[in-house]
Amino acid sequence: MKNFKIYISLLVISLIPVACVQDDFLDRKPVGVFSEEALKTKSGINGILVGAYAGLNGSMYGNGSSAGADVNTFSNWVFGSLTSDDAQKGADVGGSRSNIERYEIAADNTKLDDRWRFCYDGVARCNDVIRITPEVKGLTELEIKNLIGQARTLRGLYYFHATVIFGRLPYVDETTTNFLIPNDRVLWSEMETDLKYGYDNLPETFPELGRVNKWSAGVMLAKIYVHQKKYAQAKALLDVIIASGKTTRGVKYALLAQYHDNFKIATQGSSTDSESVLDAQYSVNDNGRGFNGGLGENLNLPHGGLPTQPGGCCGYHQPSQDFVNAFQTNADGLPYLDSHNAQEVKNDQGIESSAAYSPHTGPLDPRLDWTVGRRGIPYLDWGPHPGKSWIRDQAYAGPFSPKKNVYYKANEGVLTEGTSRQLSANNTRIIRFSDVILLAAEAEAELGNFEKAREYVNQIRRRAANPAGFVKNPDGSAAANYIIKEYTTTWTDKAFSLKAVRFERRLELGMEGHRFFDLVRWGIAKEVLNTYLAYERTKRSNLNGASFKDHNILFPVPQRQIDATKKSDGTATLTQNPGY
Amino acid sequence: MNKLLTVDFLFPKSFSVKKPRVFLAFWFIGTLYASDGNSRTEINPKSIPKPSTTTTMKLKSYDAFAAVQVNGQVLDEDGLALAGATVQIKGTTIGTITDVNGQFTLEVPDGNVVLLVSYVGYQAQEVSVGNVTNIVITLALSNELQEIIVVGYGTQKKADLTGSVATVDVKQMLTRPAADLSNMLQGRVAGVVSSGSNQPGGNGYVRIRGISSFGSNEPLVIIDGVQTSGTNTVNPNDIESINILKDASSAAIYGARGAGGVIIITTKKGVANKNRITYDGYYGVSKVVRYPDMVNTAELGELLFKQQRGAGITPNQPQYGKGATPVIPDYILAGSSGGLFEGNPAVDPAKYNYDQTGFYQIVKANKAGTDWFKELTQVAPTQSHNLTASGGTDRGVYSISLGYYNEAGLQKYTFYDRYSVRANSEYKLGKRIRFGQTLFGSLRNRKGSDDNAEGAPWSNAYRMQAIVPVYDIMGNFAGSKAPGTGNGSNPVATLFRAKDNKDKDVRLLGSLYAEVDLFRGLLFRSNFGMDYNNNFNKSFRAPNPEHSEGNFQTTYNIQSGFQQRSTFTNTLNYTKNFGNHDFNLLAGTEILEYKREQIGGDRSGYYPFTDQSFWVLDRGNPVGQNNFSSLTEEALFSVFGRIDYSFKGKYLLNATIRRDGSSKFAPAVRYGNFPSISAGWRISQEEFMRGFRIINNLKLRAGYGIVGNDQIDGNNQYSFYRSDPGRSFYDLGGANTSTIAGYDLDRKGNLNSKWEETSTINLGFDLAMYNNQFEMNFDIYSKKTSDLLVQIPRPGAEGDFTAPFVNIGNTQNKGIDMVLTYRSKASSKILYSASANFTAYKNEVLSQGVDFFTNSTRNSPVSRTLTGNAIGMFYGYVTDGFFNTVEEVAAAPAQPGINKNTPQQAVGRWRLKDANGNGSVTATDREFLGSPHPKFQTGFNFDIAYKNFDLNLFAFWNYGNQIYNNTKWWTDFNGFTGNRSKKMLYDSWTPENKNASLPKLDANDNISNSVPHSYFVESGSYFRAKTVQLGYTVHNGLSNRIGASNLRFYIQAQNLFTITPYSGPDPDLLDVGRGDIGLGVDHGRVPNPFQILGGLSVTF
Repeated sequence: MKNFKIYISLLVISLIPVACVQDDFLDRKPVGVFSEEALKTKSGINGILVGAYAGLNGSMYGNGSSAGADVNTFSNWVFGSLTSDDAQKGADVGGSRSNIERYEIAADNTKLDDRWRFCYDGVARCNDVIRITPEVKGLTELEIKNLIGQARTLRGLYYFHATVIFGRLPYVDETTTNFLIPNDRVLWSEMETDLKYGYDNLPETFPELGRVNKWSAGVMLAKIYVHQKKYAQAKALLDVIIASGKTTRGVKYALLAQYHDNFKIATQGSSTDSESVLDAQYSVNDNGRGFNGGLGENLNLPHGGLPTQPGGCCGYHQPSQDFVNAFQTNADGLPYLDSHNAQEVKNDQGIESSAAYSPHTGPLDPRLDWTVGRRGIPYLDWGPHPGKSWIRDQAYAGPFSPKKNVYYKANEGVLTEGTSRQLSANNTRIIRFSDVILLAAEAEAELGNFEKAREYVNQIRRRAANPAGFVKNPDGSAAANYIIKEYTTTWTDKAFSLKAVRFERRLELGMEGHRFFDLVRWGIAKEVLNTYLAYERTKRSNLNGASFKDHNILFPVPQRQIDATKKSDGTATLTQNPGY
Repeated sequence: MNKLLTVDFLFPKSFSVKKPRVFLAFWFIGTLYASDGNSRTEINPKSIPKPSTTTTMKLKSYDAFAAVQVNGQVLDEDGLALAGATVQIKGTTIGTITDVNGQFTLEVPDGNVVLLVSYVGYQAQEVSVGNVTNIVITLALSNELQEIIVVGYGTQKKADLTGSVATVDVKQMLTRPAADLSNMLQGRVAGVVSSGSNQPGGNGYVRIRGISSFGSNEPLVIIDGVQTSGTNTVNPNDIESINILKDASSAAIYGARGAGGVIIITTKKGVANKNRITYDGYYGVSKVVRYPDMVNTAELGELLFKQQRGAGITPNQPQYGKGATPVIPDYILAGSSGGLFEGNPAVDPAKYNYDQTGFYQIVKANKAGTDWFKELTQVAPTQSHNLTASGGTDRGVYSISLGYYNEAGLQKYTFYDRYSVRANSEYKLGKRIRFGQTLFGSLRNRKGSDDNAEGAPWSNAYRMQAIVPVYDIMGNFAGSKAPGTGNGSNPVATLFRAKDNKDKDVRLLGSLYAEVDLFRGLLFRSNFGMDYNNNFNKSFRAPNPEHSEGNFQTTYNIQSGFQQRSTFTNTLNYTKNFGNHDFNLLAGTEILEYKREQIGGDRSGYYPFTDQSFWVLDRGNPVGQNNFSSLTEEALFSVFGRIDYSFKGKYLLNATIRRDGSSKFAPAVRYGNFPSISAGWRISQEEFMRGFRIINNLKLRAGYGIVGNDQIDGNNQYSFYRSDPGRSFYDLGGANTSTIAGYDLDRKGNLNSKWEETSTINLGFDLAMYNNQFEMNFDIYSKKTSDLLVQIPRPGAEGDFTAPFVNIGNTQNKGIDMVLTYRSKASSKILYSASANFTAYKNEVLSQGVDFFTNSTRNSPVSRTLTGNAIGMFYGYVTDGFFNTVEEVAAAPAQPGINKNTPQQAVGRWRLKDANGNGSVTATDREFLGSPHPKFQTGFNFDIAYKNFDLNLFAFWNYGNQIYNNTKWWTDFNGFTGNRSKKMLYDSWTPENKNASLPKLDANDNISNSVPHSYFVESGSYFRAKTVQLGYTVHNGLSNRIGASNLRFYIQAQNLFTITPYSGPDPDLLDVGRGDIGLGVDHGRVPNPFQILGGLSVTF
């Protein structure tokens, strides 16, 4: 009997674990994260909207290294600039960007997939805001429109960013649940609808300058009109914008007094920054491990690594000789619209930094030296550009350095990331007001209003001609022979007007990632680029044998995406672009 | 500490004093205990039958004073005579063998001798003669049928097994010294594919019966009842036995975690009244012997010039100049200039400056060429010392061991250090209660490096040009800062700078248990086990100004945390015999809880104070500092039961069931049931088999069962947003140095994800013939896995988030496992055994609609998993010769990167196959290029013992898989500026060499490696002579003199040679750290080394 008791108690003991295990023993919820339900509050939904904005400063994919993240951003140097006559990949031989610059792009190129995913991640973040906002209790009608308006404007922006590269796209919105969607059309009307919603519903001003407002939505909309050659609609809208548009801070849109203030951290986003329509706001040393810094441009600093140089890495995105030549001005202070390569701007190709060299003395547009780093000219506050010693492989990609994306020495350590000085707070200006004026000039020229177009172009040139804004030597003298004047002769001819507008666009927005898309939009990419290649390859070994073919106006749909969107019958949902 | 230990042990100061006592103890033990102390020996006091015939054979008798004649008979447990058994006077070479009736006659000096009776396949036995002159000795089957096999939550006699359970020969396994079991297991067990890491202390790879899951196929590892992960938790020398449950009928008792098979490791325990001390130690050196074949300095210049000419460019190289031929400069760097010669003022050593301000480095060209692979590797010593003491009384037993293992890495400045201690004990409380504990503690310090990745030191060795020396003129590191030398990192510098980084952990893995015999046959057992690991690591990023993209930035990073896995198991086990019926019933519950918590932080800005005395977070710049912490939890609750039934020991039946609930799945699909049933028929025990004396054992086995796989992220069911400064915060206010917090989608959960289920049908037989000299184990199986959990690549259009595992499709593995063993003796002094094991499986995705790509490289993912094919087959374009003429280019289908407007440029380039013949080569022309799955693997083991010598040979043959050799992307093409292979220089297409391996040298050819294609895919078959070990056991008399009962020395060599068509340094590449759907891509891995070592084993 005694033993029996022992047995019973031991049996009971062995069953204790069974009894102890409650259902909640198996509930192990993740910590430190937020369910969607928890975010259905005013501050929650605002945070999701901030997340949608966070795409503007780039994202990290793949190996998570900042060096590979240059296309996961709003910087278009890879797809829009090194593909054009403005610049080359630079640095040294090889790599996936070389295929892009030589128009030998396989659909397997990882840059394509990175960009695709980046854009759609942005779209997905916007869709979350649009989907969840109506479920948040306690929002006023106005607040709802405001939230959704910002998200839809951003969605239009992300789609546009993908459209110029891939053309037709699958359309995903807040209602989508099946993501196997064909890329059967260019999403112009969807983008228009989104941007129009933003234009109609967003307020003019916000406490935070980084947000999109009524006017930035309007500008994006006008840009999309121009891309579709809807010049009349574009003009009508641009007229309103130019007359009444304001920055988020309520400053009326206007060109900054000095050209270079656009590319200076100190003046970007200041209370007087009237030229910012939409910036990708970069920030550093903010606990974000550099992910919020200028990822897109982090390879585009002079090559070296010394503290006497900015960034100290990589030496990519080198301006072309053709581009530099375009800044030459004639006796009238005007560009050589037809023959800019007839004479060349002197350069230090093949000359050691230790050997003597004196820079070009001919007349130049002053914007050149805010756009291109060249030997002997002060490189911001880093002293004169020393030439070859800052170039990775001069024989390969020439003697020039990029400049607009570079930070000042004075910013070092404060406005550059502690762990990586390649990353700075120098914003990417996605759209600035001079772009707006030049779009307006283009629309006017297309519509036959040549004089209006000339007025706009002159407005741009007038600002560039402000001597206060010239690059100066330490003694205060201009660093080069800067001569720039307005077009004084009446424009009567469409061909000439367009040529002048387009040339001005190249000079004003050079190296900012617009050029290739502009050439494609104008339908002259093949002609211009093959002419450029013929000229440039006499200088650089990297372009030998490269040529632009008709299908290169678009990039291939990433093979990885085609492969990842097979339908159950094995056929691809996405269609490859023609020619690839 | 280790050194002291060794010296003290080998030359104990008090040796002479202790010797008699030790000797006495030895003698006492020796008389009681059979040579194999690990298995249970019974001296059968059966009545002595009269010998029917008396054919006596006197083999050898050197003793002139022989006084006593002993007669006897040797029988097996069934009372059958054993002919040819050896009967020997212990400690001498005097002996005889039994006749056909198992009888023997032997003259012995006196009754004090001990007879050692041995027979192949049986446990040897020692018998004191005393005054008995007619002796019957019954030998128990050894290591085979009587062997007790550890199965789930209990043990079984091998004879009664119905499932497929492999037993690892621990002694053979230990002939391959390594820190981690996975390395030692390779080729040792049929059905087990494994491969070690060549990083010191790195994690290896073990897969049982192939891979069937797209997720993890890692087997469950159980050490003394504690569930853990990975096999590197245990000191191999502490292992008593390893049993591997391969099929579902044996593994189903582990339910949701059994699908990858189960490895059950039991560590050594003491034996009552057998006190002994054992020392095992070895010392060896390893060396990498096969390197990639790279160009030297002169050859690289030649190659670069040829490439530029091939591109139609006049050669102009930063280092080799722009003359008619490449000229090797004297200096590759002075300040920022390269290609300089003596006499140039720039190279004046007075200008040298290694400070951040005014940095000016001067580097001479290595004209002969740096062999970076040789520079980064070293002759690496390995040593291991283990001291074990075990013993006890009838009331309690203990086993304690101390271990020290130290392995220098094959790469400089890498190493692995492990101090370990084990203490196992068991006590009896009265007659019915036993309790005990196991404990393993280790302190590990590991310094490895990245491996098999493009940023790893080994991979940087092919990215560094030969012209770059390791050091500059002042002895600081040189690197790719020299113009035109690419952006590789000096791998010696990388390793050197990491040498003081720390990666330490303290691990405690142990259990407490109690066993109570409730009443006859009913056993209650409660076991609580814990695997606790505390890790700490710190790393410092030092300035690397010699690097092309280098700088003076410094970052100090520190991380720490713990992992804790508790297992609480309670079982009741009832054994009952009714005449011919034997029952064994098991019922139990188990609770498992896992917790992991980590913290870490970093700061930058330490320069110029970079030495270790500044390695604290507080010294860094607070601007840009980071910190984090994380917590993960998982839990599992299970009930299970098992019935074993045996009728007359001939008909065997086994059934199990387990019900598991896991926190990884949503409540609605949280619980799963996993049943199994198996049966065995020991034909050899049937009456009608009595006539077939050549067959000693024949058992047929059949089993069916279902096991599960829950190896997915614990958060799989949850959807949530994160608040991450890097990903979801934005500087809305334009503040430049601060952001506004936001949220973005982190993970999309799946509430419906449930277990993967694998059902296996296993048929097998075990056969022993010719007095157990020949043995064969054979299993054939079909393993179907359904509801596969996979994290399929999602369309990018869905956004970026961690996708949940979803259940899709099913796969099948069909395979065979086979072991053949033959043991014999050429004479009484030469014993030998040979065994071969064979592993083959075929993997196929069965269900419709499975199609996804994995395995990223610099190109698109190169592995495709498609219905009807094996998992993760290589996929891409097929190279189909070269374009030899302009006309061929014009006539060929359009293909990516070939511009028909400039056909001359395409001559000498690869023609890609237009597989579908539609006139243009596009993505639809891609084909399957090969499989990462071997067709078979087989291991050969051969042991021979002659007198006191023993020799072990072990070879391994892996056949029929392919490897995607991604290192060629770097070495054979323009990919990045770096060093190149000799093949690229000497076997690229020219008009004279149209039968080349590689396309024409062309500096602007960025196309030839821009898509995955067949050139990258190579055969991964290989035959490797893995181990030769020669041992010498010191004669008993001699070892007795130093007080030892056993003393053995050995020397051995590992990886003597490899026969393979693979062009990389090592085809042993199963584990590439990219999961099971990322198999077989070589990104540049430190190869298996040649190793030579010597060891010593002594027991007191």
